[in-house]
Amino acid sequence: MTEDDPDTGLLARIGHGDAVATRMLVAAKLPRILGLATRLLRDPVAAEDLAQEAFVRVWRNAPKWQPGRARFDTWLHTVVLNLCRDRLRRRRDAGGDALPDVADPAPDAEATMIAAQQARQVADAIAALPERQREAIVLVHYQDLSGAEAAQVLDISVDALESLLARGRRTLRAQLGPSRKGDAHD
Amino acid sequence: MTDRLTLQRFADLAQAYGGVIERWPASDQVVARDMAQTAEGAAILADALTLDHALDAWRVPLPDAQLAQRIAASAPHAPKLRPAKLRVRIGLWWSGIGAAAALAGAVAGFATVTLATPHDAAVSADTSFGDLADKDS
Repeated sequence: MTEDDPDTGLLARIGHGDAVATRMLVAAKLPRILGLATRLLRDPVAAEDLAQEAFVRVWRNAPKWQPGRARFDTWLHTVVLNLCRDRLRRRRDAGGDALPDVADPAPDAEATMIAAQQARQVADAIAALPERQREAIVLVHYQDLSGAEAAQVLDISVDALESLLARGRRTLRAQLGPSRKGDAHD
Repeated sequence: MTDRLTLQRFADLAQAYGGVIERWPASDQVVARDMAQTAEGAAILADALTLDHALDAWRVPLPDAQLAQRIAASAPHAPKLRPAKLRVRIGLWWSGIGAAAALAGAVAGFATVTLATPHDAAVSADTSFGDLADKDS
């Protein structure tokens, strides 16, 4: 699984201070990091802050990156997920359990009120899921991780991941799907 | 590699991963594509895709260029970002070169073009080349 990690070469160059490789990695990974953090934190400012923190860890680890144990992208998702969990825990401890407002939708989604409303409904429905189901859905559907990669990030088996995904999607379908009279079972 | 896939397992995979077979475990994809051609398989996928499309409505903004620039600049050995004021002065310096060259070409119009050295040469030229941060802006 790890022998064809496409990021290994870039990390080696970054370890040697290659500024071009640094910029390439930021261009490739920042949207993914920010997407994950924004969806889990639902706070774009906090997500940007977290992305910078995640890259500090990347710079620290790039020179000593050992290919073979995990793909870099999987490791990076684990880092970001743990940072998100820490922030959400601190937010809860501080009594701010209520989630900040949903992140601004993309400009083209803003074009119509309907699209913005749909985005908000989805964000609210996902935020209402139990934490592990929410993480599984975000990792697989939005981050496009494979089942094996998402299971590795969540430190669970693939079977357990599939169970989380199925339960999460079932709940989401009940909340987001149109009332379909013929849809009596999963 | 899975060479058999029951309809129940096909439905379970769709329930977990959605209606895009490329998201399913690689070992199941080939057989799943065959099963997707059946009426039952196609119906299961279509149902799962309905939720996929609903989920796709939640989009998040792409990172802005300044954030990417700040993060790249935070890497060890990254070229330091110049203060904004200095970057403006460098821009003026380049503008001075352009204006001087144009003026020289128009006035002289023959022989060699004399490129006047700008008077506000307070910024050393070694900061005007090879800076990746400036190329982004």
